[in-house]
Amino acid sequence: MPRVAITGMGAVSALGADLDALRAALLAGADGIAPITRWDASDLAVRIAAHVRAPLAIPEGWSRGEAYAVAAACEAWTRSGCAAPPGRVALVLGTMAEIGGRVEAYAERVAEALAIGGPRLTVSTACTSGVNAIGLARDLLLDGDCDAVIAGGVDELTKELFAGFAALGVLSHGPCAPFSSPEGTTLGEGAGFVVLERDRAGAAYVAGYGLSADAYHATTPDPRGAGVERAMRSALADAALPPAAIGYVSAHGTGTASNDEAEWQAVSRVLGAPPISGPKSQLGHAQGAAGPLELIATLLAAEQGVLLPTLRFGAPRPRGPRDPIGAPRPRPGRFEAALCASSAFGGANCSVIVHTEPAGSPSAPPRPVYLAGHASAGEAPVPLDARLDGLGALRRLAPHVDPRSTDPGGRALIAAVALALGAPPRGEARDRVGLFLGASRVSPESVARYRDSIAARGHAYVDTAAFARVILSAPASMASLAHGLRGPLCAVAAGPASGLVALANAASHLARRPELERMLAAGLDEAPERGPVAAACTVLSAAPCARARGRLNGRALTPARPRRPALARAAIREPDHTVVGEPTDALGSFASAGLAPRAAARLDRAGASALALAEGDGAGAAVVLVREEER
Amino acid sequence: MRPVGEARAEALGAVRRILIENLKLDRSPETIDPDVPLFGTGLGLDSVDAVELVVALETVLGVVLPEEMHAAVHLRTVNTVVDLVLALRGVGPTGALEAPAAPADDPEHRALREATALSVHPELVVVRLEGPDPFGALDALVPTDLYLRDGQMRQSLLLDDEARPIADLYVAHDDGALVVIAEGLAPASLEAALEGVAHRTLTDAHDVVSLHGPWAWELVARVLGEDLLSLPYLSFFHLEGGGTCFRGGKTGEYGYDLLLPKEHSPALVARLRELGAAWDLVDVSQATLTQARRESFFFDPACWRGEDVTPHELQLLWRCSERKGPIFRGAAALAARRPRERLTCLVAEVPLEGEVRLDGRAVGRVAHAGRSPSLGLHVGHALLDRAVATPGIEGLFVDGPAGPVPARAVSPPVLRNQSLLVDPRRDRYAERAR
Repeated sequence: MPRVAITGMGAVSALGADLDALRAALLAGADGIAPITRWDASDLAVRIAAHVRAPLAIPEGWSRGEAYAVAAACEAWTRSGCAAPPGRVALVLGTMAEIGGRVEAYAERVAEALAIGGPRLTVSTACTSGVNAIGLARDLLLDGDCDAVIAGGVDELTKELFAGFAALGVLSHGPCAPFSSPEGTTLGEGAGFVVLERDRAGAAYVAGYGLSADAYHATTPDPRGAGVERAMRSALADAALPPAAIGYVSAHGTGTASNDEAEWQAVSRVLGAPPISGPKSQLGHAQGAAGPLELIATLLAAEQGVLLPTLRFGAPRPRGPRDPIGAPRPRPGRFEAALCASSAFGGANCSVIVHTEPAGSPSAPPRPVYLAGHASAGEAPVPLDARLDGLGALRRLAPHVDPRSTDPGGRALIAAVALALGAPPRGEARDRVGLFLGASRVSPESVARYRDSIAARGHAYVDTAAFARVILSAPASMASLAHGLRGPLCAVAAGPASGLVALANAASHLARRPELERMLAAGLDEAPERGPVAAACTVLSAAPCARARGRLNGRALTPARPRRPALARAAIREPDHTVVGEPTDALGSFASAGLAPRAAARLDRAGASALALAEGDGAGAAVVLVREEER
Repeated sequence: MRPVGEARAEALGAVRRILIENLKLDRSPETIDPDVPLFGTGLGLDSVDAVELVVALETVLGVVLPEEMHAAVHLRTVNTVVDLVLALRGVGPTGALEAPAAPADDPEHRALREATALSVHPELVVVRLEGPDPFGALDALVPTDLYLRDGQMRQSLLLDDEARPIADLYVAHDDGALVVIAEGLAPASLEAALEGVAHRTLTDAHDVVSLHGPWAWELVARVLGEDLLSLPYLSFFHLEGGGTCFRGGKTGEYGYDLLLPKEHSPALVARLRELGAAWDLVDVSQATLTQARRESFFFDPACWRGEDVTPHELQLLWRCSERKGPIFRGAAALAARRPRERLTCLVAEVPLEGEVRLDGRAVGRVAHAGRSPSLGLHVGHALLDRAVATPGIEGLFVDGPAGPVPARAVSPPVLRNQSLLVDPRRDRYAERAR
């Protein structure tokens, strides 16, 4: 079983513009939270944040976020001394930001700066984006799509973003105090990247990771922490480690009442009472960069034989940890394995386990994956299984869903999932069905509503319902909530090939995780200028069933020509059929999500193998399907 | 119409428009009952909506909520928002009633309003709808949009063919099945209504025991597990060891309805009474609950049996879908109804009953009333001509048993419930301030 080593790290944060500054600040117990000076915060009720204050060169025409990302990624790359050729180096970047509705600008900038030639993916699952990216990067390495990956997250704290969180009432007036008083969080920003390599020694290893969805509420976490629990257990299973092996937990610990309580309940149930602290007390909540920065901070502390503190810890909350290392400075302590937890709006959870030794799971061989259903829905002028003009169609497919809590993209995806599944999972089966979404644009309707509210009413009075939906993963969260899908949840942007990329990732995930029964892979497009929307969803199953129309025999993710490696992995020289996606601008994710089912349909008629192929700038995918022998 | 009435009507229209345009409520204005609760039940707004409402009141109406005012505590119904708008504009009298701070002068009410109270409910029927399409089946019976996340519940009604409510319902979504808690119907009548729908009657093998009060959450957690502290309003958890805990309540205080297997319920009730002593738990009668419901303006089917009233008159349109089409029982009659009256909350110093007059003219009648031990006033629900069915209206008299008595029309709920002031994360009954 190959080990995934962390061979380099880079960081830009409120505690400094590079790794050395971060290390020094962490050891000194420095506080990155301070009054906001970057823009005028006088019209807002909360005026503090963990902004990057160290001087940093920002090239002409670049945003601060792009500068953070490139600086941290370059630092990680340089420190790694990685010798892999550019075509074998991938980039998986997590962010919550959207620029003109697109989420891939940061990844494009970093790939260009580092001449990255391997697959380039953007993960945008709200606040879990960064650790989710690290987990996905590990999968890419294990699948052989690359030999090295630069993985991490970046986000810039703009006034626009700040105003949305402020309006939701989750910000504390004073600096955040995870697990203590006052309640509320403090926002931050920055970039954190690691270089992951296979079969090379590193300072630490990514032993495993787990994803889950609360499927509970749009903005409130499951109060019992059941979703966080599932992500933690899934990470432990992936790492083949018992709960007792975890020697430290880097908590998501935002400081809000709902998060901290739910998280502590999950930690208590799964891990007992390990050492735990909340690094956001020093770094703020850096959103997409939070998970990677906190993971890096944990490792920097570990190198010095200490565990990070939770600053400003006074009286514990009634249902929280008594001792989250409440101290002004790190405390001596060691661990062999640490768990870094993140949770997000919309209910996504991600846990990553790092190990100081090259631990790895002698895991079972990957399971076969079958295509077991497909459906499409929306309003676009293309062939669809369900047309959603007005709200009546959603009523028929999902009568229990209140349309008021959805947007057009969410409705299309809810409908496509309903049709593809046939019947939603029930009971414990809900824990075993997940959803990966491929999309390249955030909902234009929600973006417009949010921006309009700022223009019309100012930053103090933004449209909070729209804000909660200005995230790439929002439709996936809506669909997971509507259908009770509590397995892994993730949203990935990879240009016009997004839909097929999501399917390839979902297939990997399903193949490698015996606790899952099915994974849904979807592609969603909402064309710009509030154009028509289309969603397509494919059901992947770990067991052959009546609806199965083909078995996935090989998949590959590369920017160009994924065809050859996919066929090689499938041990097939030439497929009987090939279905190729057109790299169109509009409806690319939707269209690429339909390629594998179309290939499977060709199998029905004749031939033993079919290739579905989507190419794009920066990312492409190929999936090989074979027909199962009749029994 | 009097000037105050005009100002009120204008403000009511403006608040309804805010709910539709800013909060994206999918209703026509006239179907937003003036006394409909905003948060939790009623319109079912959540914390995100609360922020939006406060913002819209300021940006659209120029009304700024004072710092110390919390949306969920002070903006309880459309009418209370209107009261606030009028008060902050200096237009009076509004329909707001200031609740006095004196403790209730009746032990059962005191327990219910200030501590904890227990009641048993053999009259409730609980059924579980299973089968291939429980939502479709229930959608064809009840007027409500059954928008329910798994684990969530909402209030609904069963109407007869003339659109008169014959049962008050809670409907809960349990992993694809629907659990219905029905009040006001004999079991045989519910069976008849559910003919053809696959269901199990849970109350054949279960009892329903309820806990009420601003500290009920603490007793429930003590007896049934800390987990229950996380149970949101209008949600339910299944209990380890069997049974289900539904968090609802029709008194305005915390309310938990426990569906308990019959073989366990005596022991559990005994334990509740034993441990409940530390929370000054008192068994309360149906009469106490009826009065508490009257004060909170929750629909009580027992008070309307045989009356010709529909959700229009009873301000229950919020439980009726505008989107479903005429697929449910009573739909045609509901759509055809031209209501002339509306339910209004009255308070008076002396018992209320009989006709209601304004300027000597008969404008309606008191349907049911009772004395509030918490307020020291009499609270009545009256059906008044829609033109005058408005809180704050002056000059109302009720034909009491001893002659005409002045009455005030107010915006319910008539109490500031202690439950809104208690914080389960911080407070303990044993440490409460006197």
